[in-house]
Amino acid sequence: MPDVEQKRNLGFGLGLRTAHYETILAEKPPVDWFEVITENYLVPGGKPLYYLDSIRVDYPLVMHGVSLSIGGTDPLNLDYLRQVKTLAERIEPAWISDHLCWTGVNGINLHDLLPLPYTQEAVQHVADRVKTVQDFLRCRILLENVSSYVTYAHSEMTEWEFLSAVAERADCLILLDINNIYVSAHNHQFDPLVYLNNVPTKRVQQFHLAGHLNLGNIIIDSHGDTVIDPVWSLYEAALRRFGPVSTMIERDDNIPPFAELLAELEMARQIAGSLELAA
Amino acid sequence: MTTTIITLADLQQAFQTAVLHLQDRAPDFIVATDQASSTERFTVYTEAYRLRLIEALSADYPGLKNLLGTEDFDAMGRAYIDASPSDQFSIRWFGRHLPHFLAESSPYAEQAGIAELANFEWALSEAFDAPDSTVIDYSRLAAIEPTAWPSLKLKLHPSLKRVDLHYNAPQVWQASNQQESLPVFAANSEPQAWLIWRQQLKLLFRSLSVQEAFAIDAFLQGQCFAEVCAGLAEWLDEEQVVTNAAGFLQTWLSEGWITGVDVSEND
Repeated sequence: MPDVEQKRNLGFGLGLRTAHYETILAEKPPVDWFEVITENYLVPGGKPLYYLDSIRVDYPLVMHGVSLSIGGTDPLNLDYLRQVKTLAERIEPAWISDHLCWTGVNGINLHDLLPLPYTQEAVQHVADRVKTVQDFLRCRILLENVSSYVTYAHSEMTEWEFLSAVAERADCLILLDINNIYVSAHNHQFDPLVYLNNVPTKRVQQFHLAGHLNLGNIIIDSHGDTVIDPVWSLYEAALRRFGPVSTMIERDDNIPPFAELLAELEMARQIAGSLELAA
Repeated sequence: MTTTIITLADLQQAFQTAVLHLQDRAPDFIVATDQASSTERFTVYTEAYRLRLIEALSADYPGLKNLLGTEDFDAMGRAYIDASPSDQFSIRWFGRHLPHFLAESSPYAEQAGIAELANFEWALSEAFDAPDSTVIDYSRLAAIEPTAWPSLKLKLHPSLKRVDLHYNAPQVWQASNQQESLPVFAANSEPQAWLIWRQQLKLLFRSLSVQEAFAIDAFLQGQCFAEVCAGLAEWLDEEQVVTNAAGFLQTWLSEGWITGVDVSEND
């Protein structure tokens, strides 16, 4: 695998959502790339693959999965991995990502991104599985930090130490979700800047930005609203630390007209443009 | 406070059990903060699990949701979630057992017709992303030698789904889809055959006569033209049989159901 220092910056992207398929094909909007939810296209045929192929003609894509369950204690699902590999051969994504989490055991999928305990046992377990996945897919994958609502009594390290340890031991890359850092910082009462400043710069390949739902005592990572100012500030701090990194906005609920997401993405461009970043 | 060491596998078993069985207390390895109790924190997961799956069911069964109303659909969804946890990597397939669940489980089994509506909606969802295939045109049929016709078998589009319905489920679905007020959900005097398919990207369905349903079912099962004609002779006079069968083929060609033909000179 190539050296991790050779980062590829795709620019500013959005999540590909069905509500926007026709607009994207008709208007070819100025978005540098799209991130697709891998599982949405692991289907035999019809509209999902038609639109995916059509949009791929004009835009770079990255694949973002939700079902790898890299931290799960069931065996890795090879049928799933085969299908991911086949889709990757079809659309040639710039990269493939999933989440640093588990999604279920005993063959059951809870369809959620569940937090891992931050233990040496979990670091080793995840790192071993990442290596297997990377060998299978023949590429380095990105793992994303998830929003979490609970912490475990027996955790031995902080979340950022856990994320960094997994990435280093597995030799994988990191998809740093800025909103998730903000959400988890609130829920677990840590300083988000400390998190940012302790993630290894050379491994961060992509940023996520998103909105959330603040219930007061708990913040929920809803992806149903615009990015709030403190998250933009954290994004600026992230750009200062990590340099220019491929950035995208995730919206999964209350999906607005495409133009509104474009305007929000412009905000990210402006923030990045206002900084003098070393490539 | 003493911290119990728990293995990763045991933690995941306990966490999952608590989510699936809606335990009213968080597992004891979960820590509280001064902002939220461990149970408040854990409830985010138990509730998100159900809301996410109900959302998936709502996307697959919009007509059923409209017919039952949001509250009853939610209660039905929660019962299904408890009875049938997802064992698929994609949430796309989570709802596939719902028609069976509704047909077999009280009180839904006593609510006439709702399992049929679910069955119809699931067939639509299966046709939606069924494999693609290239359809043939009339010239392929015209090129078949007269002596080879009896052996003709059809390759049919993978999106074709056949359902037999006692209730007016398609009309209820259609009204729901067009955001019109729903017709009374009622049984017909006789069961009606329906076929659902995808023409390129467009999802379509229509009713079939008894004879047409017999013919397409026979071809779907791999029977040849001669066998289909023999079956049609139960309803039709000899001279009508071939005309009717040929008429079906022409209609099916124009509707994009036929993707290939297979003839054997030896038959």
